[in-house]
Amino acid sequence: MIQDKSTKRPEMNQRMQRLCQRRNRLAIEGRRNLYMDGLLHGIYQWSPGSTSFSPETGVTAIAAEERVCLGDHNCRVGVGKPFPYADQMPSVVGKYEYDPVNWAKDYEFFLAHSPAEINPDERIVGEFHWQLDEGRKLIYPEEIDVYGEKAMALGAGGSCLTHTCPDLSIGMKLGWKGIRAKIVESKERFAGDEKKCHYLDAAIIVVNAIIRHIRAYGEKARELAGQEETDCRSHEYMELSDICERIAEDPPASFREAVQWMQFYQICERMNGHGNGYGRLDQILQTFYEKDIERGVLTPDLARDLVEEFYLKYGGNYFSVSGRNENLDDATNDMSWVCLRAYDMVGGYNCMGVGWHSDIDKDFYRYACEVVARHRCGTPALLNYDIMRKSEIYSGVKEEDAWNVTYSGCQWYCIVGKEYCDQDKNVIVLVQCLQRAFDKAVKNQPESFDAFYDLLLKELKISADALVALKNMEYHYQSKVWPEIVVSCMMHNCIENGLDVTDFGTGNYNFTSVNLLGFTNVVDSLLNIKKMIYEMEKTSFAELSTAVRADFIGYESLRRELLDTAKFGNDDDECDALARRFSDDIENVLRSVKNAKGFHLRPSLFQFMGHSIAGPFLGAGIDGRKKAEPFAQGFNPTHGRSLNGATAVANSMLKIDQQKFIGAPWQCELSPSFFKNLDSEGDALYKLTTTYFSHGGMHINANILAVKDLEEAMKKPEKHQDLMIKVTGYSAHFINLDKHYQSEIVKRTRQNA
Amino acid sequence: MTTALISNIERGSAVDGPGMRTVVFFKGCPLSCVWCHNPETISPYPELEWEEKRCMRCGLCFTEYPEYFSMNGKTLQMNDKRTLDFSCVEKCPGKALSVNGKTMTIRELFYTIKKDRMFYESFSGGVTFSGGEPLMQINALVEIAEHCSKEGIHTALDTTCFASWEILKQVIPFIKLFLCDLKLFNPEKHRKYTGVEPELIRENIQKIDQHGIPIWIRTPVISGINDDEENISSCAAFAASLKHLIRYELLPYNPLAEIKYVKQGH
Ligand code: SF4
Ligand code: SF4
Repeated sequence: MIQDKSTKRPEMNQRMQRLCQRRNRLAIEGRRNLYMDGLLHGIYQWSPGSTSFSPETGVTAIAAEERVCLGDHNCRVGVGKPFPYADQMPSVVGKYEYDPVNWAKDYEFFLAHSPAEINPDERIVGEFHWQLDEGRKLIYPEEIDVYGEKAMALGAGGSCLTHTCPDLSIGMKLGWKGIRAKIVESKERFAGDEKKCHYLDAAIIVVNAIIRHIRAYGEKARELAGQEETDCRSHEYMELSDICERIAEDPPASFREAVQWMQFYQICERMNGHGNGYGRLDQILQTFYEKDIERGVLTPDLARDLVEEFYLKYGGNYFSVSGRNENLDDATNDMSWVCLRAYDMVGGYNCMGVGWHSDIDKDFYRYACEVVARHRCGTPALLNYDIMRKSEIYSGVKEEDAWNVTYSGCQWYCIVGKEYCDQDKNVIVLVQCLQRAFDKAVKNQPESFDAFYDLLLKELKISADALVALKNMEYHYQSKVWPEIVVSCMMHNCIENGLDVTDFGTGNYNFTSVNLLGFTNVVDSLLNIKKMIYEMEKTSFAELSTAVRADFIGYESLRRELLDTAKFGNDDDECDALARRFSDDIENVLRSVKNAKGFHLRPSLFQFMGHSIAGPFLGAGIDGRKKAEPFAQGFNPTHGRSLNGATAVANSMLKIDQQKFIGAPWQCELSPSFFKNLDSEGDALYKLTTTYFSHGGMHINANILAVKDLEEAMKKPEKHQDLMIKVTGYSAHFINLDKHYQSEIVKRTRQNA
Repeated sequence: MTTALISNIERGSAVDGPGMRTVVFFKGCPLSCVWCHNPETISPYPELEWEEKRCMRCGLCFTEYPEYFSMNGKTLQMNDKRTLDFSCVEKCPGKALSVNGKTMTIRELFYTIKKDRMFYESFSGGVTFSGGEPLMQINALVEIAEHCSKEGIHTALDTTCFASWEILKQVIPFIKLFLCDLKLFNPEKHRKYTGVEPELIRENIQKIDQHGIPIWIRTPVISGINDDEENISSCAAFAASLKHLIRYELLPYNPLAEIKYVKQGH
């Protein structure tokens, strides 16, 4: 029974105000920015020598001007200088090896030399200034480049740093001491298995390093307590010091310790540089909350305050609330409310998701919609838990595991602690498959549209095969190049099997998830080919090919005809039927391709950022898109081509069987005028989203934006420092984004103004 | 088979009536308000439209159809928008020319209306017949309104009420909400600015009220024409005298109309 459903926002105390100011300042100063190595990386999620987001400093860092800024979506808090001990890293002073112990020694050194800093006012502590790849080289053997470049030429790419969701409750039950005991016990069991024992040795080094790092915070707090003049703050530091001391080894015993434990876990884990989600926050914290409330040592307001601090420290992380429990009943609990209320208090960038389902506590979901409307930047992301769960089962996840699905990143979700599918890290550029099919058609003139369509599916299979060849090589090396030991400690079946989460044979789900770039553009192009070449015979493959290559210069009239054909997102039956057919076929083709771990590829109707930047690289399109124009985002309509409003967009999207995809977000840009005459923005969102979800929709990111604010923010960033938006799957400050992304966001918003 | 001449259909609208609605703009209007916000709906015939942004100034139209088109600087002049055979539309390489006014069967119209049914249900919305003046196509209006109301879709009629009661009363059984414009109270001014007398309009509104159908009264506020206190308070008082008034709205003038005029080649 939920005790407190209050949606009031009490006045923020001064301490929290100061903490919020610091959070905002760090973002605006660019100290939370996330970069990637050039635009190509944004298209293929891989580029030669670059397998992850850009390290800001260190030997593999590229020149600042070549990097592309993705906005304040980093967990790292930059200090504007490189890791001071980079030249003393064990792998630099000694030998660099593809070996877990070699990696673990670097990690141990790195953590020991990462300062334990406590900022004024903080009760929840822990942050980091450098990622491990600023000290240890993150490079794969050169042979991977051969596969990578081949895949890229065929419109595919990907990398392997984990994008998964560890099960934090494992560590919160055992504590680090218990985890260590589990490793030791495993090692005894695998005595004689050199590889496993070696890996488990590395794991012990890592766990000990983490314990010491947490203790360092305890010592720092004690030191600060001694310097404090007021008893009150001194007492707070002592309390913090005790907490750190206890949870360094023992499992957390109180709500506050639990929150602090999670924060330490996240920094120790994020330092490796990747993009995990952290699970179902309300489920993780509920027992701690209940116990402390019962003991009389916690109030809902204090709990909210602590979660607020946790968000302020770590706004860029993904976790979810609500959804269903093991019996498939509504899992909304007191903590769901606390977690949402905490965001409602501090706002800002944050990537939490709410798992709607048909039996959800309606008051809670209504409140979630109100929060989205109030903060206007798509937070929380609104997701359909039922479809996510179905989608996991559709992929092959067992029913008994599927209930514990959680939204974990931009558009993706996974089974807590049991799935490593490098979600969001792989791409197939559908447009390139189309281009190859089209080039063949220029020569062979397929006799019917269906014959052309088959050509396209063949090309898709070729790209999928190239991707899986690259992935298999990466899988082969991953646990040696960059083992994910900190993650593995919080996964099922890893430590117990003496295996890294990235390794073969853990028994966990290891599908390869693939983001599709250009879905809508290819659908729109297909309809043009069908109608303009085959049905109306208005143009030919040859003419269209010349026109596209010329970026339609000299072919403007033809381009207008192409643009005038129906486009996806307008509830046009013929176009949508083609979209449905193509989406089903993509899934079929990808399902037929298996990775070396025995799991098939599964598609996602989303791509992180490639749509904004790929135009100039891939040229103009048969859909009438000029070279300089962006691609559509995921399966959203192409910019400027949605002419029938939001309900038509929803209708088109609902014709796709969304459960077949590991993510299908509707990036819904609503202008404030949309809500005029409707009861309230929150209420309208509630109705819009519940209708969409009830009919099979998966995910909505709702920005409420006025174009003029965005345009003005591009011109006068200093006046719009607070403007937050949902970029694609994450929220960030608009002014921190690279200009490419800013312009794309203005375009897509303008279409709905 | 009954057909309707439709100027435009707007989906997901939250403006003309309660909740989320589909608004069907019928073509043809007996009034000619000087401020008309839907000028493309006044003529009861299909008309040519020209979209400035798309025009490539290729000259095809005024070379091949010199009697209809001429270029005045950068603006296309259309001498007669209605009597053309519209073959120029197909030929226009910029797709800048189009026909406003699509003949739709009732079945086609209903198919489109029905598409957003799930949103009408969740937002307590429905369909609004607007224009122009839907009453000018009374047979089509009655048929589509009857169809919608039988299917449980909430129906609103956005009307000038400038029609004989014999016509108006035919649609009454199938309309759940009337959106009636009350533009100017003073008869002389009404005549001057809309081209017709106001008495019939007011009588009709009162008759609708007597039938017990909910009414919204709306006054488009046009600066310098009807925004004086006397007019607004008379309109408001009239509205207040209705038993089934749900809402009285003052609608700010829609400056978009200026763009629409350009689009029409005025
Ligand atoms: S009644 Fe409406 S559509 Fe008719 S002329 Fe007046 S403003 Fe235009
Ligand atoms: S309206 Fe069409 S035909 Fe006439 S000048 Fe413009 S583009 Fe050419």
